[in-house]
Formats: sequence, structure tokens, C-alpha cells
Amino acid sequence: MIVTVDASSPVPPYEQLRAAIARLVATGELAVGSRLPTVRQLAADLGIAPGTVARAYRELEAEGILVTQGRHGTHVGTVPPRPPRAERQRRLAEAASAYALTVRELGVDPGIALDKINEALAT
Amino acid sequence: MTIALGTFFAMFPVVLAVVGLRPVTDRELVRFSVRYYLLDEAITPTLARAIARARGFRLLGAALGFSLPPLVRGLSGDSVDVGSALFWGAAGYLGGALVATLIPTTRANGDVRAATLVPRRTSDYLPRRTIVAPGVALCLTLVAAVAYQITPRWPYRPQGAGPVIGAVVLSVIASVVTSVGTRLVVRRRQPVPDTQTVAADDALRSHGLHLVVGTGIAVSALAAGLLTLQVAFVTSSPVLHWICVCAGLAEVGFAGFAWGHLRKDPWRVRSRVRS
Repeated sequence: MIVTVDASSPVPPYEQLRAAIARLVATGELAVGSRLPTVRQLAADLGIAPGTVARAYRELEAEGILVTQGRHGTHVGTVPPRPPRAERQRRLAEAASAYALTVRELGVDPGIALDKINEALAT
Repeated sequence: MTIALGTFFAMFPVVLAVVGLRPVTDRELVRFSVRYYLLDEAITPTLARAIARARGFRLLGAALGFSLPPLVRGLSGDSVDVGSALFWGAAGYLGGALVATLIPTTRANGDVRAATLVPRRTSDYLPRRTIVAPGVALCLTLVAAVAYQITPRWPYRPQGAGPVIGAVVLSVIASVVTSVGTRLVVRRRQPVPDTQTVAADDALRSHGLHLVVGTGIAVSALAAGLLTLQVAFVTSSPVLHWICVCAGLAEVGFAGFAWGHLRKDPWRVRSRVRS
């Protein structure tokens, strides 16, 4: 359950954090009811401003993914709904194209590339 | 202050520096790793550095606490009290342990920062009774201070408030430093280059908390115990005398237990860290 923030990325840090937490909840790594660290703890660990973490938490609360209950802290509220079928197909095709491009750039054998995909899906 | 006593207090930091700056032995490292289930040898250098640094800070604090106040008092012509030097030595040890534990194990490098989403809480590291113990010891010190002031006294026994002020000040300092320090240590930044480093950081944090809380409880309980025994010494009430003798000995005994056991033995360690 490790999240990363890349300071050199064009994507704002709060959006990186929001997407990372949403992904962990969607994949089930963060179960419903799991408690999250405080804004200060996560900001200190990541070396970013507390306001950045607070904004990511706020956006996730607005989506219903996180629930903050005062002294009881921030918990995972609900699993975000899966996108519609057409949207899923589009994003899958995008990711596959990006992976195929990388495979061609590296000159890797397609069989090995498919093995890597299977390994990644198995973990 | 005699020359012999002055030399003793001046040499004490040197002796502790020699002890504190010695390298960490393989045996110490193995013992620490086994105690906290740290199996990856790649983190051994980080552990060795952190353990050596923590020991150096603790002994430096103890040496300064033990030697500086008596030397200052002696040089200014006042009498030197070896008993209070031991107290301040323990307080310095507590300060050194706290400072060492507040320094992060590793620094965050590069643009990519990582953090675990596992929350850190004091109760993940310390049993509840040890969290409240410094406060209880402070309350006992305050009760003993009030008893010392209002109890009927034997004639020719000490009348001043000197022991009360010293014990209360020391107990307040130890309790506040322990309580605030515990929170600061739990909140300390945790860099996450990999899972083993997180486990090592957790182990060092837990170890540091044992030292800080164990020492804090020992100092507070010793202050409470000695003041309670002082009440037993001055009071003319036989009932209060025996109550204070029993309570004072129990508190001093608990201080010894805290120093010898709570400070060293591992308590519950956070076990929910995973990648």
C-alpha cells in the first residue's frame, strides 16, 4: 500500500495522490473501512505540503471514496463504480497501445512481452 | 568542590564518549535484527548507523546532564549534590534518546516520493498503560508534594520546600518530555524506498520509543518515590509514615523496573506494514 508522487510530472501532486488512492480502492488493495493516515502524516512522509494531501482527500470525499469522521480519522467509504463498458474498452486499448509502443522501442520479442503481461496480471 | 570531585565530573563525559562512540558489533546487530524480525542484510549498514547514532546521543545527553550542573555549581562556589547529578544524568539520557529518535533513518532523494498508507498511532507501538504511566507518576509526585507541605512534622526535621520543588520540576519535565516526545516520534517522517527500509524504520522507531518512555517513567517514578520517602521521614503521623514508606519503596522499585525492563524489552510492534 505504497503511493508515490513525482514532483517532476506535469500532473499536479494532488491529482497523482487522488488517482493513486482511487486505484488502490478500486483494485481492493485498500478495503472498505480501512483507515488512512492523517493529512499531516502523509504530507510529512511524502515531503509535500499538507494542503496538497488535504485537497486530494477532499476530492476523494466528494466522490464518496473516502469518509472523514472527525476524531475517528479518514476511512475508505465506498468502492468507486466501474466505468461503463465502452469507457473500459477505450482505456484498455490506450494502455495496450502504449505498452506495444514501449515493446517496439526496446526491441523486445513479442512472446516475452506477453509473458510479462501475464506475470503482471498474476501478481 | 574538591579537585577529586571536579576531576570526576569533568572526566565522566570523556568516559561515556569512549563508550558511546564505539562501533556497533555484529552481535548487537544480529540481536536487534532478530528481535524485530529484520531479515534483509541489505539494511544492516542503515541499522548499524542508526543504532550507533542513537547510543551516542543518549550517552552524550547523560554525560552532559550528569556533569554540567555540578561543574557549574562547583565553579560558582556552591555545594555539589551527587544525588541530583544522577537525576539530571537520567534526564539528559532521556533528552538524548528523544533527539536521536527524532532524526529520520534515511532522507528522501529525487523527485519521486513514496509513502505508505498505513496510519501510525501511538497505540500501535506502546501499550496503553505505558502511555498513561508518566502522567500517573506526575500525579503521585503532586500528591506527595501536597502531603509534604501539610503533614504534621517531627521537630528538628527539614522544614523547607526544597525537595518538593526539585522533585516536582523534574517530574513535570520528565512527564511532558515523554508525552510530547512520544507523539513527535510517532509522527516522524517515514521515507519509503522499499519494504525492508520501512520495517527497519519501524523497528528503530519502536526501539526509540521504548527508550524514551521507559526512561521517562523511571525518572518520574523515582522523583515521586524519593519525595514520598521524604514525607515518611518528616511526618509525625505513624499511619502516614508507614503508608509513605510502602508507597515510596514501591515507586522507587517501579522506577528500577522501568529502567531495567520497560526501557529495553520490546513491546508490541506495529505489524501492519506491508508493501
